[in-house]
Amino acid sequence: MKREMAMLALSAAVALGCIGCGGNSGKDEQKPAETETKEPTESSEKTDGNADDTTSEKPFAGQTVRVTSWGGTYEETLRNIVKPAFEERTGATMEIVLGSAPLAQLKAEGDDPSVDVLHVNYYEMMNGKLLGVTKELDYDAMSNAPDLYDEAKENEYGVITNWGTRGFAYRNDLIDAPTSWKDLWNPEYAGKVIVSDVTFGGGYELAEMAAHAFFDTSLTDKSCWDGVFEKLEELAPNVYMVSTQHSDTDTALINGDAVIAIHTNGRTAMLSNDGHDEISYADLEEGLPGMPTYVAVAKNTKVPELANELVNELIGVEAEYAYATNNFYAPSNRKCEVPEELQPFMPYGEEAIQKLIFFDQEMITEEDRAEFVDRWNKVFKN
Amino acid sequence: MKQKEKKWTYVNKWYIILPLAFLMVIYLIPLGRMLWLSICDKETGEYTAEYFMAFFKDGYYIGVLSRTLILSLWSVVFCIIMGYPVAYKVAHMKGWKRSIATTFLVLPLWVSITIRMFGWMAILPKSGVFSIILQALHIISEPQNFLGSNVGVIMGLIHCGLPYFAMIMISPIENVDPYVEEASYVFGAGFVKTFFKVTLPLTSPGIVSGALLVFALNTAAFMVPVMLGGGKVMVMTNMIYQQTMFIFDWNFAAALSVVLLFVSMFIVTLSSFLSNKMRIQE
Repeated sequence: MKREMAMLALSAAVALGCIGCGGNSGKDEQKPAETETKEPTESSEKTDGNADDTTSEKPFAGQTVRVTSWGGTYEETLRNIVKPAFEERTGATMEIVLGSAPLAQLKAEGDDPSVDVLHVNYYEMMNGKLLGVTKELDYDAMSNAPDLYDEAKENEYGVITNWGTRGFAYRNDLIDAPTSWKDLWNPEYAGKVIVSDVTFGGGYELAEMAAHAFFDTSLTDKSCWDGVFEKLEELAPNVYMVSTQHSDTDTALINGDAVIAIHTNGRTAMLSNDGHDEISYADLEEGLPGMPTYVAVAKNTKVPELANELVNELIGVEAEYAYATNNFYAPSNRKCEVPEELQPFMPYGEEAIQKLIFFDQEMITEEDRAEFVDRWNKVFKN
Repeated sequence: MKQKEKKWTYVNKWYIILPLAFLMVIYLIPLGRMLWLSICDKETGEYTAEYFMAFFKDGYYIGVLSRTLILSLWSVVFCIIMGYPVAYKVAHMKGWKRSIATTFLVLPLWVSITIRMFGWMAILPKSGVFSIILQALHIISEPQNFLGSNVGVIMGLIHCGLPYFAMIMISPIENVDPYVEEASYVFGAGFVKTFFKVTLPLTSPGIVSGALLVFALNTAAFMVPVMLGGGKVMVMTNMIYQQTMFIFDWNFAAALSVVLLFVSMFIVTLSSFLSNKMRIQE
């Protein structure tokens, strides 16, 4: 009995201690970011701070924040660079949950979400809002928010941490450089084209660019859908694979099984970086669809301040610099300067971002999305 | 002695109740929820058959269901053809040889299905080994891509189902009284006649059990069509996943699941019934 009482008292003490830590966290929330955020390319601006100060300013010590991330190199940057810096600065633990955003799971979990922060694409960001599983972001509580390009904080339910593009990766030793989205339909590429699946991201973009290239309109104009899907049906015989993983696309291009693929600028740059000089990224006359990465916060997260702090970290200069240099994704923080030699690999700077093509998925209703996927399946998964 | 028997009976009862309760919680309750969702209007919450109507009205969905069943059935056929001889041989082995053969049989199951499918993803493309072998055997004239084809998916399903089928078949083959086979030989029947007239009929309940298990597993397979389908082979499980995780139409996804469940159950029940009937006639 005595032992049980002692355990109870110990548990109560630990719980009180935790509550105490949590209580402080809200008040000091912005301080660590303000003192630690620095420009990696300008070492003179670094504020080193003494070790004692850093230790005392760890308001989230003992807390845990769970963040989803896509696997592969994106997760590597998060795990190897962002996580240690964040944990060191805040004292919190960051748990990385691999996979795409579990929106349906969050809906089922209700008040007890299994993740706090989500990396999402545009479609997932919109769906998170629609399903009511993500919350409005508090930009005022983020010290790095004023440094963002305006385009990065247009949405209350997700902030853009970086931009990539979707275009063509192609085998420069096997075909001439493509110049237009229409080149996918070239009969010479029969059985050698890779498109991205609609569930993977890239499907809407392909349809949008088909609408641009062939009908000079956008998918938001539903009257063009019949024409767009007819064009996609014409494309189907050329398709080698409807990719659901970047690595599958990479492998097929390297092996020469496919000669042209809808791919991201980042993955293509990484292939070149790995010595695959035979793979290039095309410059297309109709332009390139933007591929923003958003970060959202789970609506019912139990650690809202810490989640906000992590979002702030992800839009900070250090994290964005890491994604730019490791993954070739353009920063959304205007203070993040990318080395000149890397700038051509990404839509760097506000002007380049404004040139990207964005398809306003908010204009498409829930029923329209279901219809789109249904028609997509019938074209490519028949 | 009687008391001991009673105790054992008492314990035995709990051995049944606990697993059943476990199954009840993790299976029947979600199943009930799924059945309800499939007939419940997502807007009004009232009873509706619209999700089933949507499925049965659209030829595409019927096609997906047919493909799911056909791929699974083909995998079952190949598992029987390939698994039975292996099981026959292993059942007649003894000592360390049998242990080694059994280990080789279950070895693939020790490796994650994802890893196994990654292996197939390297084998099946146009530049892969499978295409090269078929060319060498003059079965195909030029390199062909099997990733993203029904053939590729069937290969994966066979790889998954074969160890289960062969393992299940070992016991029924082993249980065939060797004197029965011997008697057949004594009366002048050769191996082939003995096999088809004696061994095969005696082991047919095992074949049905193994086939039904492989069929059930492969009808519900998800990773194989996802990884080897190349985004082009749609089966019921993929479609359910897409509706749940991407379209968020849980009611239609539930209706798809109910259709798949009932069709699979119907086929399994029918097969068992026919098998029993044939056995009674024999």
